[in-house]
Amino acid sequence: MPDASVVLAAEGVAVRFPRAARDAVRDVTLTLHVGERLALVGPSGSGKTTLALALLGAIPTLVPAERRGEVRWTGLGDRRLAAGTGIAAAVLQDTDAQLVALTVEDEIAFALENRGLAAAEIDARIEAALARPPGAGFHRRDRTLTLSGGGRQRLALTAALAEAPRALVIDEPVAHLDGEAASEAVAAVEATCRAGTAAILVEHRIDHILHLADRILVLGPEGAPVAFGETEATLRSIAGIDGALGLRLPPSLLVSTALAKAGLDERDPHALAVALAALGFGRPKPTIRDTPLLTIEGAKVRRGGRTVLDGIDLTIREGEVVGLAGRNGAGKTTLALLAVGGLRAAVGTVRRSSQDAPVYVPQNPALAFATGSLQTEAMRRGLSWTEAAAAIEGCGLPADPDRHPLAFSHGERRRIAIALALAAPRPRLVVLDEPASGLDGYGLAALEDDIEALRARGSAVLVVAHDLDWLARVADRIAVMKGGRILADGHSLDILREIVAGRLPLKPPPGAVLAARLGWTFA
Amino acid sequence: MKSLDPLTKLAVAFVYIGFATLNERSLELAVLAILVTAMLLVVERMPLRSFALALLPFAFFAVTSSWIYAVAPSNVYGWTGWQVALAVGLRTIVVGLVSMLFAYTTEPADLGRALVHRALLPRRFVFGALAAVQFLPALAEEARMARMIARAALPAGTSRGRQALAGFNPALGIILLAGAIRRAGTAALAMELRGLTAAASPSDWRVPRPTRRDLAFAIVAIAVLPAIVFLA
Repeated sequence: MPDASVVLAAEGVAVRFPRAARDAVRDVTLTLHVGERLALVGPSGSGKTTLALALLGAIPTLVPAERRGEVRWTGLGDRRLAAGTGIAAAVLQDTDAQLVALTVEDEIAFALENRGLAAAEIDARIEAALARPPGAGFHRRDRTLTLSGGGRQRLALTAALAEAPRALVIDEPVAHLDGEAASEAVAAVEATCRAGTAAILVEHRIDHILHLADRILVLGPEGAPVAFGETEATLRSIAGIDGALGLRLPPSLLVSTALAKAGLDERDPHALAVALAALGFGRPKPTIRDTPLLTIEGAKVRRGGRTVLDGIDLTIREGEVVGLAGRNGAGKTTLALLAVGGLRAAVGTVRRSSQDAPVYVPQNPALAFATGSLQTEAMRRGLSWTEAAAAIEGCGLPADPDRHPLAFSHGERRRIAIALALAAPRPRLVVLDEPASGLDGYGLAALEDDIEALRARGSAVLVVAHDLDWLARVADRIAVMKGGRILADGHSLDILREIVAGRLPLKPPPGAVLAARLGWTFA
Repeated sequence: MKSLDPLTKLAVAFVYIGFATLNERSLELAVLAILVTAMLLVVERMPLRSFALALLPFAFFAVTSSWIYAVAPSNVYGWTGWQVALAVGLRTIVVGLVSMLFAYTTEPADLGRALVHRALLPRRFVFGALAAVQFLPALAEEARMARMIARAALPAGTSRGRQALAGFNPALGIILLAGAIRRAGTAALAMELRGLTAAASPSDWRVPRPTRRDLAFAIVAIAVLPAIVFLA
């Protein structure tokens, strides 16, 4: 007799794309029970999204790929699409492209209309979805086109929750959200699951889903499961492996593993030093030369008749790394574009000390390229092909001079854009917009090395990021933005202290909170 | 007009466009243009700037499609070249204004539902088109961002003229196009994952239905046309 608590049973699932030499995913066997939350993690390219699509039935029904093994949703036959039927609801990685309607209510209603629900039922579900997070704060007639990236992600999640499915499959639910919004989104999923909905969560930022996921399935770089079990125990076993299989482990786990390795507990007087080392805080930073490479004074930027930046004062010196933090829509990208000269200030001045063009790696790395091949990209940046090829190969990617930059994946494009920036004769000002977004542990470590290399060469670096623990590790100073203004600008650790103390309007990051609990004074 | 049935409005708009297309009298076209402009600016309170921006492509098309008659006159009805050019230009403007009035007063989702439930168009076609509407501003924003990035890559001291032209190159067009294709693929997948082609017959949630008010609107709107012919 079938187990009534099982929502999904998958056995020996493997997926191979047309013309691929190997399976993208293989040997996946799992069951999902009512109300259970399963995290799907792994390094970039390990097949997490592919597996999610195969479980949803999108592979092979919508995406042309061969699927082997069995996927059985209770109440639905194999090789049928589970999504959109009330059995499963999906939130894709690219929520920007996922929204299909022009107003919030139409977006929420879309799947419900497709299922043929009664009009009164649809209205009731819209009302309910907008009355609680993550939908609270939206109005029925709000235009989806005016929402920020974070807002669009929240709406996609709201619409999926309104479907009241038996299972949610969410690909990177908090990737573009600031700390506060990410917590709200996670809380909303948790509340839904408490009511019996099961969930499969694909996510790089494990700290956000650590307490949400009951079990975790870790895919290795070859697409096969390398670990599967209860979340904390599984992650603890991975934490002991060098490189942690490319996972971005939560701070609590990094610290507890380091303490266990050192044979200490939290009360030990040496525990703090071990914890700080594990978290990467407090590393001595090199001396910064006192030569400003970027000076912004009293800058104001207007767009579409609206002031989007106001009273901006910011200086970045030679060899200095400055972090830019703030909630979604605070004006960080606008300030980054002002710094590199993409935007002009209506009032105030922006001075760059060098005649050379600054380097800007945008949030969407495709936009960092303006030509049709790697070789012409190298030429555009004043690099010989030998120099460019060395840089590209240095980040583990093939250096084919005729290859179009868009022939690489999203993450690979970002790595190439940064590598080419680093290879420039002497990039004086480098601005990285959300460079850590969507990176696995390996990518993050490589990025940190790149930033250190830029610092060592005397570049001034501005880094926009949501992950405040990471930002405090790599930046000498952090500027916190809100509503187009800089609220605070100071030494990274001072800013972190203010955030943890609740004196700045950002959600305290878990690593800093943990360190503070262990007695760190952010000195 | 925003609360009127979209299909009734669409039918009236087609009648007006047909009237303008078949009409060669400049005075009648001018009266119609003034009338529709008044509807947009006075009754519907469309901001003047938005009105001007929306009219710009139609005005451009009106000028470029009619100047040939002015400079190379043909003997149509014995008119001068300028008379023909004026009629052709006004015809384009009226078609543009009527389209603007319809678009400004119609919620695309309402039109979509009406087309699916009453005109029996396939959902996949209608909602695919609505999703594509979302792409345009996103594509424009990406193009704007690409231009800003290209401007930033210029060395200091670059002339304002070169700065203004930064980003207008074919390679960037390809990059934007590739982004749009990727986005279209994701949107199509997302819609299918939300049951766009599910077997169930779709809900009748918010399907606009014509009322007596719509009938009155259609009668009055169509009666305006012979009135213009008579008075002009």
